[in-house]
Amino acid sequence: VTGDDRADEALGLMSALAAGDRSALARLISLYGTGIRVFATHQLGDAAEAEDVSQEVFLRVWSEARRYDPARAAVSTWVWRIAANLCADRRRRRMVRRFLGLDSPPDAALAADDAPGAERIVAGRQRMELLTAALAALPDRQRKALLMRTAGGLGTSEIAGALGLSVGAAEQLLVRGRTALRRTMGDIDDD
Amino acid sequence: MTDPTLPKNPADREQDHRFDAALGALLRAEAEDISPLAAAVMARLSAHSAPHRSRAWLSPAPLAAGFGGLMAAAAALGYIGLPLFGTAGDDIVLTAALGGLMAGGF
Repeated sequence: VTGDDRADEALGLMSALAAGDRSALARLISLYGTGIRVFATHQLGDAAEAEDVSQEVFLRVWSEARRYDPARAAVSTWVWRIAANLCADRRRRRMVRRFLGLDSPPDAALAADDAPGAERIVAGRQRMELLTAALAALPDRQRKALLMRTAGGLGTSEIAGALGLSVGAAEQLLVRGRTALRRTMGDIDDD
Repeated sequence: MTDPTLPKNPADREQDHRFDAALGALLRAEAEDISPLAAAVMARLSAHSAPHRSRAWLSPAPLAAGFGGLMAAAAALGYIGLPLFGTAGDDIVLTAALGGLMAGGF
């Protein structure tokens, strides 16, 4: 499925969503759900919280479908902007709760064990943990841009729209993010 | 002026493309099964769109206040209206009280 095919299908699904078709929502989840869950997991560093936010994203898509204007943004841009905003809100609230002593920092090992596919082989697990740490060490906007590209399959203009940046600025974030990640991980495409 | 951070030639772009694809495959491998997410969203959607009557019972304060108001109005009307029946009013109240007592007793 190409990006254009996906964009066309998503546009049709938005019309169906606005008319109250729940099967269209299920299809939209199959288009964007995986990427958004990966994005939320690496933005929040907590699998359970990421799952909850991913659900919130699609509930928000459902409730706001009638307000979607195709002239203003692609469906992917709109959905990913909702995801980025909800993750930012959740991080902000968590910081306040931790500041007030209502929450404690998550146990990193426990969070990793709770992630889907916890039974993966040790080498793969170590590599994934290294990748998670490398992504976490990136500046926030570089991480967002890189996750949107790699996990979500978004084009540079879609990323720019979702993050409220120019296309050039989004491209720069991607280049810098890749450079930093290669420095930590090596060329992960050499396998 | 060209930006030094941007890839300069098609080979660099191709390398970036391969890097993105490999990273994407690595990341998505952990979250490929999307059916639990879809099921959870649908369940929450159904819960949100439950019938209005159920919602009323989830927050019964307005209903309780309305019922209490009606009871108070009935009591006030009875108090005001009783003298209109004169001594017959007392008999009505006595009969009703005895009737209630007997009904409760049996």
